[in-house]
Formats: sequence, C-alpha cells, structure tokens
Amino acid sequence: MNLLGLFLLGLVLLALQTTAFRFLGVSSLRAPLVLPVVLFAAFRLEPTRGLILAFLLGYASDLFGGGTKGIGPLVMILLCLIGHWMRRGLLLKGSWALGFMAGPFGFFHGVLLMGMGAVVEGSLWLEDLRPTQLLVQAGVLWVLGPALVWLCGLTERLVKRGFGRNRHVRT
Amino acid sequence: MWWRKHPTLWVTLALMVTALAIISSHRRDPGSLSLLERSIYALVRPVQSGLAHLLSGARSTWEDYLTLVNAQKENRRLAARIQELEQEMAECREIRASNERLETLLNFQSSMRMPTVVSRVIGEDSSGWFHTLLIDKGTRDGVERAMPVVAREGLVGHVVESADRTAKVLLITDRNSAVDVLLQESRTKAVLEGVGRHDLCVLKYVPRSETVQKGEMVITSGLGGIYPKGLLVGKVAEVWKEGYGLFQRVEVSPKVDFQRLEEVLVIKKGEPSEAPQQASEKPSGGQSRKGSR
Repeated sequence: MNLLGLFLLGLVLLALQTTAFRFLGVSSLRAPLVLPVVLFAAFRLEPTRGLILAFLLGYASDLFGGGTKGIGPLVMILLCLIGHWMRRGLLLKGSWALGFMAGPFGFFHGVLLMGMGAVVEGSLWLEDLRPTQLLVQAGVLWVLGPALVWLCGLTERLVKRGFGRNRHVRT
Repeated sequence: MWWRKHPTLWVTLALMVTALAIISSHRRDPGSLSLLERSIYALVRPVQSGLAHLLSGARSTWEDYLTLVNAQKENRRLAARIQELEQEMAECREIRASNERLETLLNFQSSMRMPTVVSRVIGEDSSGWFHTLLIDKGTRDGVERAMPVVAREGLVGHVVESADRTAKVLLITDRNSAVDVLLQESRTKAVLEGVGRHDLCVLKYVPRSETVQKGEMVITSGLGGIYPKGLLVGKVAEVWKEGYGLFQRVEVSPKVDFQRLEEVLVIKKGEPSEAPQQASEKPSGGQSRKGSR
C-alpha cells in the first residue's frame, strides 16, 4: 500500500509539473518533481520496492514527456540504485537532509536522461543538453526537495495509519 | 532458493530488461498506447485539467492583485471597495478574454475547410527537455496520430500520441519536428526544423541561389502527408549566406507564441479540397528525426 500511495503522489506531482510551471508563467523553471519521490523510495523503502516505484514513476514521466519511452525508467532505476548505495554511508534522517539531495540528483537525472537518449537514439539528444537548464532544474529541486520529501513521509504515514498495519519499512 | 539470496539484483535486472523492451517496442511503433498507459493518462487527466483551470485562474487573480496593491497606495480609503470590484473585474476579464479567444478560434474554425476539433492545452512536456504539449481531446473526440494542430496565429505541430481523452502534440519548435514548407513570395521549398527554442526554427535545404527576403511569410507546402497546404507557419527572421556550401541558413520566427497557447484546433483527417492525398507516401513533415520521438 505504501508503494501505491507513493505512486499516486508521484502521479499528482507529475500532473503538477506539467501544468504549474506553464500556467504560472515560469516554464523555464520546470523540474522533475517526481524525483524526490524516487529519492525517498531509494533511501527509505526496502530496495526492491524502491526500484519498482522508481521504474513506475520513470515510465509515467516518459508518458508525459517527448522522449523515447523506456529511457525514463532506466534512469530512475539507476538513480534509485545510487541512492540505495549512498544510504549505507549517509545518515539522512530528516526531510531537510534528504530533500537537499534532490538538487544533485536532479542534475544527474538530466545528464543521465540525455546521455542514455544519445546512446539509444543518437547524438542529436546531446544537442538538447543545456548546462543552464541542468542547473536550473537542480536549483528548483534543491529548493522544493525538502517539502516534497516531507510530503512523501506524510503520505507514507497516512497510508500506514489508514490501513492500520505496519509494513516492513526502513527509516 | 537461488533468487532469494539476491532479490535486489534480480529485480533490477528484470526491471531493466522490461525498460529495454519498452524502448524497443516504442521504437517499433512510437504512437501506440498500452492499457497501462491509457489508464495512467485517464488517471492523471482530471488532476491535470483541474490544475490547469485552477492555476490559470490563480495567475489572473495574482496579476490583478498586483494591480490592486498599486491602487491601494493611490487611494487607501477606497481599498476595500476596490478589492471587491477588482476581484469581480478580474473574473469578468478572464471570462471576456476567454470568450474573445474562443470566438476568434471559432471564426478561424469556420473559415477552415477542414473538419476540426477545438481543444484546450492542459499541460506541457514533463521533462523540460522537449517541446510537446498535452491537450484535453483524444481518440474519443476523433483526435488521432499525425493530425495537424493549429492555432489562430498559425501552425502549432502535430499529434504524436492519442489516448482516450488526452493527446500529445509535438511542436514545430522541437528538434524532432520537420515540416515541408514553402516561402510564400519566392515559392522556394524547404524543410522547417525546430532548434529547441520556442521563438525560433530554421529552414533547411534552401539553395544559395534563391533570394530569400527578411520578413517573407513561410507556409506549409502540403507535401509530406501530414500538414495541408497553406497553413501559416511564421516569417523569415534572418538570412545568412556563408562563404561556402550549397545552402543558405534561414531562421524563421514562428507566428504562434507557444508559451501562452491556451486553445488549439486539431485538423481531423478528412476530405478537404486542399489537403494532400499522399497517404501512401512516407510522411516527412513532422516525422521524427530521432526515430521514435
């Protein structure tokens, strides 16, 4: 149920990321808001569940994007694995600490997405890779990351309370 | 069991293989949608549509609020009253602006000889790297792949994916877009390609010998099988003839302001007199240069 709750939260954030920036007139600040959910999954969920969630959210992101479907899940799986590997050496207990990781992860997300796109579809993808855009996305995620991670935690708690049973979750 | 020892490894491998299978399937048939994909579209669409409506209203209210702050500075005594009136005016202005837009679109629709579907823009590309839009009409409304999308000002792009009540539109400014066009005065044929900027496209394959004037209008040529002939695309912004090469570089500024686009018309496949009957020909207009995008 944790997984479903976080997946639905990811879908809402996806809807927000495709509409909010445009209608608020700050389209250039558009960033992958689902990334903090993947980060949360990598650091707080059981590895296999985190990977499944990362795959699903990457797939959903691809659906609303202009890229080749399938690249998003690959990138999210890699980021989830990196997060999973990092959590062995990092103690990121609070939303703030984990949320601030969203910035660097946002940067790598862009690089990996366009890099894999170039591998799969050809070097034309690299022409779309703009360093300023990468930094802007990282900056936006760095600012919004803590709030979004807190939201993930809240969703997890609500789902647990709603279903009245404890799941195997690492905190 | 052997797989129980390393579950993470096996799940990772399984998911990666699935992702590769998705890539392969998407490359083979980029426009098809699976049941899961249709379900996700159907699940997200109401949220997206609601957010689009809410945020559009919030933006106009915010803009009016800023105006209101200035008014308060000028006349503090009437602040409360002004606030009420401004709020009402904001709502009225929003309704009027919306009516005007729809009226112009309706006039444009009736002036077109092809069957069209009016659609609202409800979102844009999720990644920020590509130039696509999401509209609130899909297969239920007769919107299908490879249908041209236009606005009152000119050509917007074409549909690349269509779910039940949502469709994805590839804009002419995306690097994957390629449209067969015609320079209106010189009648020179060329291919219009996006460069990943909302305000600029380039014309490819314009021979050096052709005289292209700055400000010349660019229209669709009707070749390629997607766009009908004569749709306004933009105007020539800059022309360069470098020291060598067979072609000249021509920059085109699109007529449509893609950042502020709220309603569009999807031209349905039909029986127009102008529409090219080249279904058997492999379309080059809007055909992805990166294969599947």
